[in-house]
Amino acid sequence: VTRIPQLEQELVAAAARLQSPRRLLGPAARAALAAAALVAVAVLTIVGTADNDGDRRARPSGASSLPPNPDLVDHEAGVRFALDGRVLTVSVLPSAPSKTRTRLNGARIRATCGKAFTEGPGPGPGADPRQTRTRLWPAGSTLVRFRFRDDISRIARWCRLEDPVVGHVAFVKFRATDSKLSPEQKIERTGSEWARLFAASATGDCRYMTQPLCERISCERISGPIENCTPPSAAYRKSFRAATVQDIVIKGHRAAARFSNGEAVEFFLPEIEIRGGWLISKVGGNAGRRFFK
Amino acid sequence: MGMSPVSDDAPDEKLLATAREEPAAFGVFYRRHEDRVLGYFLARVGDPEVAADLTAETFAAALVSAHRFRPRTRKPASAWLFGIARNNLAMSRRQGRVEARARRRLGMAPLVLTDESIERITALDRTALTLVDELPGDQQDAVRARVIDERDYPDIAKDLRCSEAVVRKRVSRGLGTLRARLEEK
Repeated sequence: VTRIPQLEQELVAAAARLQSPRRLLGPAARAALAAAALVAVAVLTIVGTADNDGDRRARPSGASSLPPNPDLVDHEAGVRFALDGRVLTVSVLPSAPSKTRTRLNGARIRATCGKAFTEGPGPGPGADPRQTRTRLWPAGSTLVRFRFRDDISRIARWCRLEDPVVGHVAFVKFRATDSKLSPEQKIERTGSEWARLFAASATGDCRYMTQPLCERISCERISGPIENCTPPSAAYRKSFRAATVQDIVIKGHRAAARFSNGEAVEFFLPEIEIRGGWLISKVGGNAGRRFFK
Repeated sequence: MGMSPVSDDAPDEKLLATAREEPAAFGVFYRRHEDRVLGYFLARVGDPEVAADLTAETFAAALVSAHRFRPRTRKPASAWLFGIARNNLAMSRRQGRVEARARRRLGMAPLVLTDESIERITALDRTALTLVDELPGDQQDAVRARVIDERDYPDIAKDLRCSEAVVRKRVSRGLGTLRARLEEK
C-alpha cells in the first residue's frame, strides 16, 4: 500500500489516457475524440481557473504565504486555531487543561469556520457561509489539520471545535479578539510563536519574518542560493526552544524584544497588518542593540 | 492488444520508456519513488497536504515528459525525477501556491487526502527524523547540516570545527547507518 493510493490510481489512469488514440481507434472514432477533446479543454480551462483560487498555498522556506487571518487562541480551552487557505490548523497548547485533551484524544472532532454568527443551513456558500470537516483526533496528538472543501479564510469570523456527540471544545472569534491586544502583547505573542518555529524548523519556516530576513536565514532567494551566506547554526536555533520574551522596547514602527536565552530580535510593523502585525526583521549579530542601550 | 505484465524489478528507465504503452509501469515507478519524493517535500514545506500536492504535480510532470527521458550513465532516472521536484518547488514558491499545470494537462482530479493518507505521510517524516535523532552526535549534526539544511561541506566544516573530509566521512557513515536501519524497518 502506498502512502497516497489515490494518487497512484490517478497517475495510472492518466497514463492510460495518454495511450495513443491512433493505435486504439479507427478514423471515425478519432474524429469524435478530437471534437470531445475540444470540449474537454474548454471545461478543464474553466475548472483549472476556478481551482486556482481554491488551491492551498505552498509554504516552503523563502515563500511568503501569510493568511489574512491571524492565529487565535481559545485561552480557556488552551487551543490555537490558524486558518490558512482551505486548511485549519488546530493545536493544543501545553497550558491546555486536561479536560480539553480528554475530549479530543481518540474522538471524532468536528471543526467549523463561518462568517455569520447565526445558525445556518450548514456548509455552502449561502447566506451563512461556513465550512465543516470532521476528523479523528489521534490520541496524544497536539496538532491536527482540517482541510475544508473551499477557502473561507478571507471571510471567516469564527471557528469552532466540537465533539458532535459531547459538544463544545473550543471557539475563537477572528479580528475582534486580536484587536484587543496591546502592541506589547502582539510582539510577545509573535516573538514566542516565532521562537518555537525557529527552534524547531531546520529548513526555515518564514512565518512572522520579513521576506529579506527569511531569505538570509534560509540562504536562498527565489532566484537561487545566496552566495557566501551562512545560515544560523543548529545550536543557535535550539537556544530558542524554550525561550520566552522578557523585555520589549517599541520605537514607532520598529521594536525589539529580548528573549530569556539572552538573544534579542528586532521587529517591524508593516503598513498592511498580517498575523498580528509585527514581523521580525533582524536576528543575531547586533539585533536590538540600539533599543537596549 | 497484447500487453506484457510489468515487473516490479524493471529498471526505472524501462518503466519510463513504457509508461505510455503500459500504464501500470508508471504505477511501479511511482511506488518505487513515492517515499523519497514525499520526504523531500515534507522536509521543505512541513505540511503533509502541501507535500502531497507537490508530489502529485511532480509525478504528473514526470509522466507528461516520460517519453522524452533519455538515460545517461551519470544521471539516473531518480536524479531526473528530483530535478522535476526541485523545479516544481521553486515554481510553487514563486507563485505562492502549488503548481498544478501538469495535473490539469493530464485531466487529473484534485487530490483529496484521507485521514489515513495524511497520517501515513506524517509518519514518514517522523520515521526519518527519529532515525536521524538516533545517530551518534557527530554524525547527526553532519547529516542534519548537509541533508536537511542542504549546507555546503566547507560551511559545515567551519561550523563543526573540523576538516571537510571529516564532515564528508560523518555524512557518509550517517547515511549508511540510516539506509541500513530503514531497510531493517
